[in-house]
Amino acid sequence: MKYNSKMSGKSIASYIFLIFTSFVMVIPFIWMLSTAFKEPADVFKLPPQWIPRPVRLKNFQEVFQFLPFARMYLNSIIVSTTITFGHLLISSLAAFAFTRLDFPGRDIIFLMYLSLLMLPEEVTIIPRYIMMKNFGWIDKYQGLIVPLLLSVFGIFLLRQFFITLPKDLDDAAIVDGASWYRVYWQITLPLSKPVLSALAIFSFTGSWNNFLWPLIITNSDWMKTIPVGLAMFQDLYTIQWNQIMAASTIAVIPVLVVYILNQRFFTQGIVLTGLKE
Amino acid sequence: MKRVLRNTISLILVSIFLSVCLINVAYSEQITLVYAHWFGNVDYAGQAKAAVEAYMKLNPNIKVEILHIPWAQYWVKIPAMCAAKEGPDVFNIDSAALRDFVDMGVLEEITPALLKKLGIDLSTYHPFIWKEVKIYGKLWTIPYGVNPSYLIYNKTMFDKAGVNYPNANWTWNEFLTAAKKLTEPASGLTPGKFGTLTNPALVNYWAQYIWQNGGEILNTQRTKCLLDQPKAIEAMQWIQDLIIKHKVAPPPDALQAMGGLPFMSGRIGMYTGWTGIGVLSYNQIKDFEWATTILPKHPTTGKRTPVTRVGGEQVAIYKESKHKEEAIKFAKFLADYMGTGGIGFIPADTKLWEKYFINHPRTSKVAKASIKMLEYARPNPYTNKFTELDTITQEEVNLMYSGEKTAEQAMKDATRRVDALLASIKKK
Amino acid sequence: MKKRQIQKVIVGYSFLAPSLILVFTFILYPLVWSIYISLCDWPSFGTPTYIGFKNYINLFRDSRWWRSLVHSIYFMLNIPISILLAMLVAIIMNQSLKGIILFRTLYYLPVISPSIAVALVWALIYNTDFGILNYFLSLLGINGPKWLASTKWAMPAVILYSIWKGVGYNMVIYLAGLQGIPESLYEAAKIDGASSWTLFRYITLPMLSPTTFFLIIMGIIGGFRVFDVIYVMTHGGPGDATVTPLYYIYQQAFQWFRMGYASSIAWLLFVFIFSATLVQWYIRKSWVFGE
Repeated sequence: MKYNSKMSGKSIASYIFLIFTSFVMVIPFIWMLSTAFKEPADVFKLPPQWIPRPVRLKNFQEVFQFLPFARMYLNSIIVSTTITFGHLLISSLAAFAFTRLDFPGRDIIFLMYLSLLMLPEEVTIIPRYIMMKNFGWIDKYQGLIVPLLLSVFGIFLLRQFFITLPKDLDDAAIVDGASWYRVYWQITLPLSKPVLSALAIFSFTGSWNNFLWPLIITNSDWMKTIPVGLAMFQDLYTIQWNQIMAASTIAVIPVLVVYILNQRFFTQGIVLTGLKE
Repeated sequence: MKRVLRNTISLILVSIFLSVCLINVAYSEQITLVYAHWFGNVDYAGQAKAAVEAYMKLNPNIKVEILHIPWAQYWVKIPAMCAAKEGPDVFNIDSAALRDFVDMGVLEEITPALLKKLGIDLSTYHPFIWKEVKIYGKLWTIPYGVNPSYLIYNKTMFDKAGVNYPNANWTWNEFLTAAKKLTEPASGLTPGKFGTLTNPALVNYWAQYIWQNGGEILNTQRTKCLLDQPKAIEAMQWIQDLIIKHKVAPPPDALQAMGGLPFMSGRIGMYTGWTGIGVLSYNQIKDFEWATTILPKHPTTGKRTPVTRVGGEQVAIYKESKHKEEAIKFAKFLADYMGTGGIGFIPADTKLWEKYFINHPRTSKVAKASIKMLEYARPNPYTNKFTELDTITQEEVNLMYSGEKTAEQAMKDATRRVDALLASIKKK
Repeated sequence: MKKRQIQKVIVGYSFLAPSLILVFTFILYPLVWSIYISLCDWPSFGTPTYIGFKNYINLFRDSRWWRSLVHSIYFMLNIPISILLAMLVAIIMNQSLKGIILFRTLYYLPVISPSIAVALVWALIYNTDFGILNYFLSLLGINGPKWLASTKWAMPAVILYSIWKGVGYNMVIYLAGLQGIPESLYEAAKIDGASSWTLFRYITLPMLSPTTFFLIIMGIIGGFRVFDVIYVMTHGGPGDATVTPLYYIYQQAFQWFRMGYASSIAWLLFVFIFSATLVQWYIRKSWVFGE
């Protein structure tokens, strides 16, 4: 990636486009942020109040009073981090098999995996709950984590990326006597940092925001995750908007952090050395 | 010899000690009850929590665990738990689902004999409540609140527009006249002000107009929908006119943009609110003055029928509960406690009215009007699969509110669909 | 030869082992259970009553189901728009401009903002009388439609919202794909005097085709399964104009207590999704690089 030291026409055009569109992207988020500091009666003042007057910090206090929010935060972090690492490992192993290896049943199994994405989880939630009860995993971290370690999305994503990697390096290593496990670990994975980062971002975001399963599997407030906590502010007749926004604002931070930290993998190109093109 | 004697004595002492412990344990058997609710409101949930804590203090051998399940997933989780044979012992339930739950055999009947045995006296409860919560003439829940509709109005808005406040002599004609004077159209990005507002749900709103007009929703046996009858259509037409013809009520998407309680935004002059959780929000209003009065009456029939419901203000006992009697006792305690919290609804037990409703700071402004409206109350036509009936009618009514269907067309379509639903229920 | 074959099988399946174990432990049994339930009448309580294929027969006559399927396919109009937009944005975001990470983050914010919050803001934007969208349209002399209150315009409103919410997501995937294109390819082509368009058409586009394939498949699967936006924004309305298959399943399973029927809807939907995916799978070799 060449670094442009002077602003070319292309760069200026890019900036204009980005500034304009980013504004559109961000407006609802700004409303969310400002509502987090509003009095309940001000939430629906129209036209929308962008700067809350008065500012109500009590919303945040109430969030922590109504719920064991700090504990939920911890739960979300533990669950999401574990699931993310699980996804990265398990999905990459499977994607490697689907693209680098040749064995009977390979494509059929891949199609079978793909089809797992096609059945809505709602209709299987009751038997899964009963299974968790039989395992004794209700209201425990195991229940929150283990059944979600499979990511067909991740397998599919990684597969599409692995396909584009040239097989020359693999073949060279195999000829030199390396096992497929070494090829996976020392060649394929290091070359896949961008897509692994993308998967890390999505897995973390996805499990952080996952709502239905954690809701079903947890009973006690101190095992719940953040999205479940957020939903608790909704009632049959009313929604506590200012408190939900306050909680959401806090909740968004780790996801943003994971996203930003992974950005460095999206600014290096792939340098394939030692290959004759 | 000495050692054997010493060991034997020790063994005997230990055995006695253990037996005493075991006996204590056996007598003070710790019972755990699980209580599920959906309360997202801080005060509401807080009252339930306080009730539980008070109960545990009075009954040290009972532990009550609260299960807070958000409303949207309440009916996902309760069935899942029951399927795994561990449903909550006590749980809140809404009248819309009550009949289904009774038919599915999920609830334990609370018989008069059981009430007598546990020393529970429900005789001071308001009689309307039994009309709604008793199914097949039997009791399945302990109700704790009831919510009739009444008229709530924005005094400041009335003052600004120079309109006289609603009074007990008002008919819907005066209502409409006042609403017109209170309405200001939208301009640019500022929404307008509306004299009143509507609601697509029959149990929250339009049933009252149909009944006041002399129409019916369903027949008495609840086997046929009567919304396509002239009196019902006439009533719905009047409501649609509020939005489309007179423009004194906001269209459906404006309502959505105002969130859950539009009255709080200060842009609604008056509407037929109801007690319950909305009252807690009204208490947070700072920008304007508000007051309540009884509903206007119908100009020709003179009826003043509100929409009234116990709704979700009731708790049921799980049929497979391992501690049914303790569950019922806890349920009654909870009901009483909830009634003393001033959290919005009219307490089911009339004994609590004086101190905890009429004179409670949070509910004093709605007390007089709502209690008066109870006199005119009619129970909603709850059936099996009522949530589906509700969805069907809401869909049609929403299309009527947005002007895509005439009142007549919407009601005819609703009747057709509801009849199909009722027929499918009858088959069983 | 045989030994090598066996070794291939062992190695292959050893890589697949973790995921296969998860599938067999946690997914297979619930799947089979839901097939059985789809042949039953079951309100989620008590014992299921076996009724054979009655659910499926009723489903074929259920106009609400068919309409929901049409709504889903209508919703999939967002796929080409989302993909093209995301590709464009990703290419722009792929430059080493100052502050690019800030922009990338701003684009990702819609993806992570809770649906319930953003849907409300969009309800405000879409409002007929005082929403920003119709306000801008009025400045251009156009009388804006009733958007969320109109059976005709509600789904386009949902599509626009979904594009807004998903562009950051697709952008990240394309960014990852772009990193995988060797610089050397561009350099070699530039030496030969290739224009920007040629570079894009003959290097970027083909090299991104596996990613595009991924986004199309996920877009189709996601389009059939759209639920969140309907649940928070339109509730299937106005009327049933935005009821999608998954929303209908949710209504039947958890609001109307017909889990058996809901399961049959899910499986019929599965057949549709699977067929659509299969078609894409078989034509992929003609346009996707590396397959």
